[in-house]
Amino acid sequence: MSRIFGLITLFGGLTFLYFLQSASTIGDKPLPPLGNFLNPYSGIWQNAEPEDSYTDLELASDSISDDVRIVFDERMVPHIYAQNLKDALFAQGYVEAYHRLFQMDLSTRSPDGRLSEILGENLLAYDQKQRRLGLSYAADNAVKSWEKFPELLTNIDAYAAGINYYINQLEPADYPMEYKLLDFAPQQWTNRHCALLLKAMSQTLAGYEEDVEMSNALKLFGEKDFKTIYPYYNPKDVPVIEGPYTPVDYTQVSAVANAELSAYLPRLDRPRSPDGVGSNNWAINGSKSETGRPILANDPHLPLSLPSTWYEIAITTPDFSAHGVTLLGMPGIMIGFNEHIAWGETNVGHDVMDYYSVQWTDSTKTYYMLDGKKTAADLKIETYKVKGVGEVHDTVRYTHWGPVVEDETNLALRWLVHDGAATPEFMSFVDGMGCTTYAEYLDATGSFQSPAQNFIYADNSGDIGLRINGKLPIKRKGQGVTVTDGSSKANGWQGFIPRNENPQEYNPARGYVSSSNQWSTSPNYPYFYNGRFEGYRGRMAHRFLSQDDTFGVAEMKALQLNNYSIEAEEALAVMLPLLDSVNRKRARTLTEWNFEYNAASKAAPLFDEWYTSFERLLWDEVYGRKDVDLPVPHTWVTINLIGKYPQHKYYDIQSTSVKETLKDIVNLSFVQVINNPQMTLGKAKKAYIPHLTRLPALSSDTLNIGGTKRALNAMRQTVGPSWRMVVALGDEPEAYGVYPGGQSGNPASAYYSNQIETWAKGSYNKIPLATQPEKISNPIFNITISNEK
Amino acid sequence: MKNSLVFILLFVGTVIGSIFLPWWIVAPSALIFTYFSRTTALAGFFIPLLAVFLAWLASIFFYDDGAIREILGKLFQVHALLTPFIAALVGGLVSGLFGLAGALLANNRR
Repeated sequence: MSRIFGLITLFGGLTFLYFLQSASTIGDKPLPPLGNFLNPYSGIWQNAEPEDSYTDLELASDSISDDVRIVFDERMVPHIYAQNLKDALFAQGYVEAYHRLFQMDLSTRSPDGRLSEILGENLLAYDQKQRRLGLSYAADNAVKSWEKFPELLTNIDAYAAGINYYINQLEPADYPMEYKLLDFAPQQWTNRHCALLLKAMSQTLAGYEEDVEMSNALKLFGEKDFKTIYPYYNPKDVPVIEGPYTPVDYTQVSAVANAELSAYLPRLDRPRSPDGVGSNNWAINGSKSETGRPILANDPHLPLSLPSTWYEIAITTPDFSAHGVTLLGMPGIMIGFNEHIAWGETNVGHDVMDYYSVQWTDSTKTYYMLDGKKTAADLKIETYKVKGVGEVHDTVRYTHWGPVVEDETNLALRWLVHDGAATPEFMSFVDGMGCTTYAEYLDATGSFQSPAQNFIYADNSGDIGLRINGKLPIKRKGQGVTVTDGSSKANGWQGFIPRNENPQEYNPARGYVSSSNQWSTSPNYPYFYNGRFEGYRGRMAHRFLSQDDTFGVAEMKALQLNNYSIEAEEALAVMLPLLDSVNRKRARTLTEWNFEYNAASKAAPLFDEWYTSFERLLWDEVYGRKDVDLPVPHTWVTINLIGKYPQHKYYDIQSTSVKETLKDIVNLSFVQVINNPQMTLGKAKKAYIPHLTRLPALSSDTLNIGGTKRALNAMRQTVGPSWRMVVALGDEPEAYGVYPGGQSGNPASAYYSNQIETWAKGSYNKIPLATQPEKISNPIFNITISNEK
Repeated sequence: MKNSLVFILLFVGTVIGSIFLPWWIVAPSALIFTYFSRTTALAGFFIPLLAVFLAWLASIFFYDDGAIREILGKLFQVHALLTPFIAALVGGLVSGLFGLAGALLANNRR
């Protein structure tokens, strides 16, 4: 009898053990194998990182040619000291993997459409969309084009070798905790992963269009009203480059054929870059600087995350000593400075993503009409290895234009991101580290392709410059604003703007260069382009920098943190006078407001609510159409409309029998919001920094901070200034920087989120350029990698 | 005496063995120790449970400076201080079940 109970208990024990070794779910939330996860010897407890756990490491590798020393300073920033560039890049790969391996892994799985491999069926639809956008295909094309440059490729090979050197050292107990939580293992790093990261960056920064929505708007409003509601250019904007522009031998070709719509286009459900993505940069020369030498500032606005998008790093070789931030998975430094120069980028924002309507010959959608000929689509079978499900297949149709993103819509995507690169783009950030003059910098960055960036520059000899840098298509007038007729190759792009005809400025007379994602040029620029531009921040920067005054580092920091909204200033200037006497008395919060989006402001969220409510009443033609996706007109269009036209047919609310006036909808929208509980902006915004997995346990607490997307401090709920840097050039650079996160990707590390408080307060870390290891005060620990040969 | 020996062997074996072997080594260890030591069913369950529970608990407090507790507490929405005990109980229960099986099978042999 006892034996039977023994066997039953043994079976029960084995069943329990099996359960503890298997992944499971609670509801739709996946659970890791609890035994593996919770045991103290290889589970999550091994990810504890007490302050006293940092000890010097001595390693050896045959992938380097000379010894490398890495010193981690008091903020855990690695300072790499190598005898040559390739060894330095090997060490860069090593330290990035050391601190951020999971982030690097996850960041490549998203563009590759492989999140469902680790996160299960819930992510399959997202993966399919990513593959259908052709990001994986784009990465393959990039790698193929890089292979034409074997000498340059050795740099990225060295970087990948450093990452793999770290990965190969790991036992399962050493895996970052997210691997344990999601129950998978790190993969070997290849050059394709670097390409995928570039493509992910392009998706974030050059992955926005409104072709379907604009086509529907054109059909709904007709051409005349369409031009009024969605005009090409805001005359109040101050473009990045004011001109005059390089004379070019080019005449704009006539307008392209828009696709004829017999009905409204259905919703195209595609991942697009999030609202609020953008950046600021500016550089002043000695005439405007208190130091008499240039000062450069740069703050990219990106979706914020823990671990942070950026990783701070310093690299010293016999040829240069540079410090700045890099995107994980890319060699070099993207935004930073060396002993002579400082550099940075903002997003250009031109539309390089156009949809073409495809006419299939029959319902099998294997042939389509192009230039009057029956043309075969290239059918690509995509395979997804979905966790807990197995293999899932999907067929993606590739046309002359590119992939058909959704079979139902018959729209093919022409996206610059799909194109192979003329040279490996990452070399801009590798070679940029060692530049000493503007000519060298232009040369180093000249091959950068996508996403096009406003590359800004300043040096200690007094030069400043800015170039709109990247591969940009030549379009016919109006091309790419709406869906284009894809039946003729002639409707494609007309080539690419020669790089020396990209707008640029070098030591302009006004004493500064600046960009904040506004229009690159005035309409006088000979080439047509369209895109997603934000004018208010650029105007604010110019309003400040064009003052007849000199500025120091403190003013540059204050400008990055500036919460003033020209949008609110201009909107309230036309809206408040339209309030009736009763409402005007109730609007004191707004009439007394200084247009600053400070955390403690009650006026800022009230204005946002009021404006949103007003906009919904004014543009009820857009908001009211639940069956059709339509673009919301720009704020400046609305403000100009109400300032210019006291009477207009669009003021009438279509759903009512009476005819409303502008005054009616201004007052009605005000009444709709004035009785809502009034919160401060900090409370209303509920800003926080989510972990990459969106797990609240690994995300930040709510932050009480100000800012808005139309202010230079463009902080929204989870999108905002992801790195703030100010560098005053001199005999030695005086640099400051901060980002909302920490160097370590380990949520259990003291260096995971330790900089958030500094960033949220608007403070900066002073960043000395440590050209020698001895210059680093209070190092935490060292890693020495010696040549094994 | 016999029970104390089983406890000590399992405690020490868990702490040292788990560094080199998979965590579930506590299962066959408990089965073997209780089978050959011929403990009672009650002792066969509770001694391995207690030994592994305490070994895991001690190890957890040795490795963790408090950060993992906080994270697990938020993940599982329990008080952070409970998480080491929950984790240790998992190991203890595995060991206890296999210990009980060993003791019952051994009692049959007797």
